[in-house]
Amino acid sequence: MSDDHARETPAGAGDAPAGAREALAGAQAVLLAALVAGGAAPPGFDEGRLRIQAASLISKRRGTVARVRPDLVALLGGDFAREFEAYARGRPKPPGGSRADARDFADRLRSAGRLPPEPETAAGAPRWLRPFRRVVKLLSGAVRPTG
Amino acid sequence: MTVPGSGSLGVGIGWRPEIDLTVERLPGVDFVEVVAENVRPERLPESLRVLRARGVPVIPHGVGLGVGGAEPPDPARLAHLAACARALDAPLVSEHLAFVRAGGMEAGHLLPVPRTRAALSVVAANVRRAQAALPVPLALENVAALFGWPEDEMTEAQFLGELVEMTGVGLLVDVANLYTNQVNLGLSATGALDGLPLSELAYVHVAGGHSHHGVWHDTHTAHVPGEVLDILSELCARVDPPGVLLEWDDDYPSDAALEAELGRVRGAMARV
Amino acid sequence: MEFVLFVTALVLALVVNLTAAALRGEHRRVRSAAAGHHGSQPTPYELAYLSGGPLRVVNTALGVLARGGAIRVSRGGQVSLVLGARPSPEPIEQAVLDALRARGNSCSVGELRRTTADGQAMSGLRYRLVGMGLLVPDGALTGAARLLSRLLLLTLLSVVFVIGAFLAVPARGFYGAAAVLIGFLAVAGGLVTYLRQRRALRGLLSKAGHDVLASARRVHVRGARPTTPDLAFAVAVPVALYGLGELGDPGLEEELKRSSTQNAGCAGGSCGGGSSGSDASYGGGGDFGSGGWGGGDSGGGDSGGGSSCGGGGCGGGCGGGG
Repeated sequence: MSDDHARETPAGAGDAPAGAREALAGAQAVLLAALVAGGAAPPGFDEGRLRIQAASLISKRRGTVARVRPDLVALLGGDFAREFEAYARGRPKPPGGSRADARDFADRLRSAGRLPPEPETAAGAPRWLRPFRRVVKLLSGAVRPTG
Repeated sequence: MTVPGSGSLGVGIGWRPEIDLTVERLPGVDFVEVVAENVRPERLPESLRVLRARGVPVIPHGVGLGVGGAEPPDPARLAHLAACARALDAPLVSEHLAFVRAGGMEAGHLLPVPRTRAALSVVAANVRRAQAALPVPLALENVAALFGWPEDEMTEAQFLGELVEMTGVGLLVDVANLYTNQVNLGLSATGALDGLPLSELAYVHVAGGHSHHGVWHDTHTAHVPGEVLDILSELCARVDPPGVLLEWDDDYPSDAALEAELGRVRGAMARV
Repeated sequence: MEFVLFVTALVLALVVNLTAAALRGEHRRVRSAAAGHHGSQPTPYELAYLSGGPLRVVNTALGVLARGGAIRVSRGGQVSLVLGARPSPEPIEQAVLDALRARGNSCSVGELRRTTADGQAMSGLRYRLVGMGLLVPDGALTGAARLLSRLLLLTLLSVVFVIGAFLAVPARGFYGAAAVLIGFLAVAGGLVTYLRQRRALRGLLSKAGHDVLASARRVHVRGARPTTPDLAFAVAVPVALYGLGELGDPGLEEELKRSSTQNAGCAGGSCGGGSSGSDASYGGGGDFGSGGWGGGDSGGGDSGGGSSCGGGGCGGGCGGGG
């Protein structure tokens, strides 16, 4: 690979005309607010299409959260989609990505009484405690011959 | 004829951690693509190192840069893409003509850019910054949209054509996205092929999806439908693509099914 | 003082030795007392249990399912369900598939191994083997279990004695040194017997079980891989009898052998990092952490879904990628 490629266009050269960035920023922010934060559809857009897009963004988030937290899917069963929809509608994805999204969703379920407190205990003790757990298991004879 | 750097890639598949061994073992994988945000260049997955040692090109494919956004591209994200390109000794880097965040909110998705002259000037400036930060050529991918902007002045093909002319950026044509726009927005896929500057083609994406109540979902989780392969054949009739890559992102089928899918892609390429 | 310690050490060592001998005797008695075998040809999973216990059984199932294309193993020992995998008539194989499905179709091999080894299908297999007279039933082991815990107690007592003797007599003469040495030997002997016997008493084979296993090993020699397309013979029997080394696929073997400690479990969602999908790990999953690049998480998709997806019918599939 050559490092001299694309050097014919130096950084920052020919930036957008004054005001173009601000105008684009405003338009995109209003549109995104309509899609993920419950904002009104900006004029001129096909509102039906925006609703489809908004629903699609939520279902995509839902799919990702389902993959991060299959335990929540198992717990909620058929209610998972509805509960996630209720959580995500009008609430943008939090900073921190899908993990943060999954955590916020779980927090909401917990405060609504749909989740037992601190389900993380299902995953077991904290990482640093695991070797100790193993020792305890070993002493109690729970370790079987390996295959 | 082709974008510098892409050379002749052949037929490839999107590398994903779940199918790493499969990708390593599949016959007929000439190149792969890795989602750049999912790797750390200083600690590449062993599978990618194995593929690189075999001489298989690995292309970093970004999804979070948002060159179609109002803000200039984040220097940290650009540095990451550049580091990935260096670590993988990649012939090029690809991203999308889309915006992914605005007003402090994340879309979690690739959203279409308003296709106006004013927006074009912003995107072109963004692309130039990205190119300056990358050690290899950049290619941009057309996205699938569910809506258009009311102020749109040109088609996506025209917009990309102007962008290519202004910046020299390469093209990554996703024929499944062309199909999606044809089904969902009534935009002709062959019309788009006619309008795109295919001489700047870096490579091609192909993927399957699901139809749900008349709306096509480009899920990357199913067999590539015949209609998408037809568009690929149409493209190959116009230009000899440097590379064609199958995207499969979840619900992975058996190794044999993936191999068969690559065979169908080759078949569609040879149909012309 | 030193002489008293010496005598105590001798007594301790003697008691430990007697208990260990009693345990070994009980072990022999129990094994030969089990009912004789009247069964038919054992299945590969029965052989796996006899040969290596529950974990060998799981490894056999993992090998058969992976080679048969029902599951996929990736580097790092992550196992995922292959789209369109058919249900298996083998309860153990089905248990593996069910465990994967319950965990969002993907899980670390360690977690999968633990879950299946502790599951109902495994108990069923165990009961069947007991019923066939190939395994010693649990109830027959109460005497041995009592001796086992007595041995552990005595060993621990010896440890205390050795430490005590070591500290109590700073300047050691012959008897003091001998007391410490004998105590130490008692600890070592007790511990070795304890560990060995505890292991042997788990899933204890009867004499008949040993015979069945030995006869299977005579028929299917290690390293002789049948070339039949029937996975039961090509994969299941060799792995059942000799372990994952007989899988005939070194890459797969290496990933399947990954110990559970290398991979965190799945239950609490720690698997997320393993699955990328078009966008899952991007932005916070496994390798990437929540650091610099995680924040964005714009997802790989560029088409995504439509109106009808909201109802849940689409599951995670709507994401779509660029």
